[in-house]
Amino acid sequence: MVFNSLQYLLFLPTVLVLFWLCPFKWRIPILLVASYIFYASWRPIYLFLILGMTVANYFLGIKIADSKDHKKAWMVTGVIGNLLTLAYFKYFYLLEETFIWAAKPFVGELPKLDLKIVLPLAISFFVFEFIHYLVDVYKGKSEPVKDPLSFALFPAFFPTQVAGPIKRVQDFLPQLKIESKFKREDLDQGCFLILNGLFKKVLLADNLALFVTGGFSNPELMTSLDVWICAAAFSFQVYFDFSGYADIARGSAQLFGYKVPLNFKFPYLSGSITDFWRRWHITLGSWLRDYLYFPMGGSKNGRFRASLNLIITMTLCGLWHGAGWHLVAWGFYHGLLLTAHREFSHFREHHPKFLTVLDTKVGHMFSVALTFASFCVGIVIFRSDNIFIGLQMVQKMLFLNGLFNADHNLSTIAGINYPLIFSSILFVLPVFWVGQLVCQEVIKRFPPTQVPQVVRVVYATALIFMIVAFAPDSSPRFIYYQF
Amino acid sequence: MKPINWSAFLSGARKSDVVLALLLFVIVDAAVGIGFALNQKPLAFNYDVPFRSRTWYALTDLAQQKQTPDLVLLGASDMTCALYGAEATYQKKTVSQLTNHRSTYLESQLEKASAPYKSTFCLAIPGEMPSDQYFMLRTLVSNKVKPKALYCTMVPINFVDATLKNPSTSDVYKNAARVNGVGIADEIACRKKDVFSLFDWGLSKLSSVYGHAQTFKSIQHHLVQSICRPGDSQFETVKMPVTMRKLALMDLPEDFAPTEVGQDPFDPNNNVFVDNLHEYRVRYSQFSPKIWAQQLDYFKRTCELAKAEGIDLVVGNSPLTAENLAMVPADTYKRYLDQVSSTVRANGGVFVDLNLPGLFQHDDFFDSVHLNGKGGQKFLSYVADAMSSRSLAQSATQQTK
Repeated sequence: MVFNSLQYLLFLPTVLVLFWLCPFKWRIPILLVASYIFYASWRPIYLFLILGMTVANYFLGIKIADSKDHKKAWMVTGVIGNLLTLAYFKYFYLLEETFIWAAKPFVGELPKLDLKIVLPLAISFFVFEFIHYLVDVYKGKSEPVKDPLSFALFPAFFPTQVAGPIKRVQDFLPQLKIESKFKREDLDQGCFLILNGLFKKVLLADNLALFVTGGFSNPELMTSLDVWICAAAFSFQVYFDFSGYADIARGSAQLFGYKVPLNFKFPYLSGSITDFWRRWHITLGSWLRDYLYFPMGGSKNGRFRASLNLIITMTLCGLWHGAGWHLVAWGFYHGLLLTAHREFSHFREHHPKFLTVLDTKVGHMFSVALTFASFCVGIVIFRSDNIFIGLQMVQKMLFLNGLFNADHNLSTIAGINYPLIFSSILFVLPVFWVGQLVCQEVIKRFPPTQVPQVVRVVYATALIFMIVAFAPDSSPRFIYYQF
Repeated sequence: MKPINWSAFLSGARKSDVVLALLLFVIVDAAVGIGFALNQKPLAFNYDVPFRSRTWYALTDLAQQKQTPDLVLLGASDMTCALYGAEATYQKKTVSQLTNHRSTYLESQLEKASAPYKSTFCLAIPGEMPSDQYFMLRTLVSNKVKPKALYCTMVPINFVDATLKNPSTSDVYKNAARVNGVGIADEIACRKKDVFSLFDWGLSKLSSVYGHAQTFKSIQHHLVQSICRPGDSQFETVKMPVTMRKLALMDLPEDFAPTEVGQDPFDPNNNVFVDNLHEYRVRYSQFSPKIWAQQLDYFKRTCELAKAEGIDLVVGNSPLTAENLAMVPADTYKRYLDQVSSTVRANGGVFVDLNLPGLFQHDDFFDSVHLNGKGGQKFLSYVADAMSSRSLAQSATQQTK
């Protein structure tokens, strides 16, 4: 069941009505059953996986808290157990293929094991939530959860189940204990978030997907300009897709009176790559910082070690996104960018007069453009089928193949008039840019409560109309579902 | 359960932005419905779509015909390959499969055979299943475009290949549902059993906005065109490699620019034969009794509808190469022939078997199923003979009466 489906349109109000009409003590069981139905609607057999992992982590949490001498051993056991489960389902084929490829010169082509592993939905997200819980209990930052139903709801909570935001047990579980009342404000704000999310996903991301699929399907025919246009289009597609999902998740949670963390804050308006990672997939970034970068030593052991930790963290971040070496390369690339920015900032701290132009408005705009361009180069590797194709496209982006293609076209893609998105993309991308700036300013200056009701109502109606009228026949899955 | 405080609930609802927005949407929806009703064009075929498929080209071309064609041809690629191959060879030039739906070659053969059908129109679409043929005929009849006669091609794959599990997912259905008002859509929806499909159908019936995405996208398409390229008549020209477009649109609905699908004349010096047996081996292996029964049911309904509307019906079993036919189990082929021919005859139609030994040679084929230009001309002359004998049979029946 996906958020942009009729199933969810029926499922969500049904659960909502039951939740608010039933006594408080039934709320958690209702949400838990609903969340398991939501999960099982994809592949019922994997219900046993999430249940099994929940039971195991529940007892591990208690064991870590209760143990006097073996706290660390229990925590390490738990973390390794979670990671091995993730590795088996997510990385088995990658490891097998890599092993066969590496062994080929020595022992010839080895046969593949036919294990028919299907990646369970949301496993990357709930494994991270479990690891956070075990580590925090170990460090004493969190009490072990005694109520099994509340604990089970933590990873399974259907609004955030599939693609986050990655929650923290300290933020989420206390909300379950509050006997909140149904509020009109929650209904309005939740529905607004859901409508915004659907608008981003169904109208923007899905229409951009038509263009991006076209562009990336035959990269050898693309000119340098094409690759840049495709990269920018995919950057916006992935942003609208994922932040749309996050909005729907936050909105759905708010309908039940719960708050889940913000995952995006206009990342493409970031003035540096460091700032970008504070605004993009915020909950993943903070998880990586707290449970990978800091435990490795963070920036405590000198500049070289800090850079190395950063590169390792981001490389693993790439691997987390999927089982493919191109994703590892994408993560490594971001590690390099972060390191470069860190060194650059360090240099400027000691040379305050160096490039002071960057502190002006124009300088900031240049920094924003450069950050976005750097992200675009990486996203090409991310979106490509494999690392070799990705590097070929990067080569084109750097104009190493010249400006034109064999037919002296500056842009091949602009020649595709059908569907409409192909010919209008050059108009659409700048609109998105300006749109971001406008939205950021509007949100800053006019909190929703200060906007006249008539404007809010007309805005919501326009969103409903556009979503209903322009929804594609078959909307592609949310991109982050595959992670 | 807590008792609901309705007065508090209603007072809260009045203040809720979302509730008010939903109410406003209902008003807008009604206004759109009225707007559509006032703007309805006399002939429903004059519709617009953002993605232009073969079906769209065929139906819009039909709308532009000054007179209702005498003979409408239905079928899949077995018909289109034969017809366009023959036409291009006859005209000695490349013929567009998207903008040209008449067969002057067949018309010449009909005249030669003294058949009473002068004008022709091809509504055959590659991949057209018996269910699609029914949707096409329903569309014609409900739009009062009633030809004198109908020639439908049949091949065993129509019943054996179980790829099309849901007839209402085909492009022909989507277009037909659009121009047929709600007739076909209602009929299909009533057969659906899952609650979400029914909910979806119910919403699209209730709303003038939900389920009408194609209409809004077309409006959007023209609006942007008028803004981006005002007065540019070349807007529909594609200026890029076909390979890239094909790949780009693989995951998208079928979409063609007007110049994209053409058929070249038959060249005896360059008569290439493509071995597609592997593809058919796979397709023949996908047999499903349920799909067989479903498609046969639609075929029966086509025959019944033709009979009810007084349209002369001829159904032809299309030729296959011996190697292809050998892949169809003998009992399956016999069952197919028996059921199709008996259904046609039960509804007063004529069944012709063009897959008899000796009618076509191996070099009449482009691949194991599709005829080339030379084979296509032979095929159409047999069709003309069949149509002629159909009219003779009919006049004999009328005289007996």
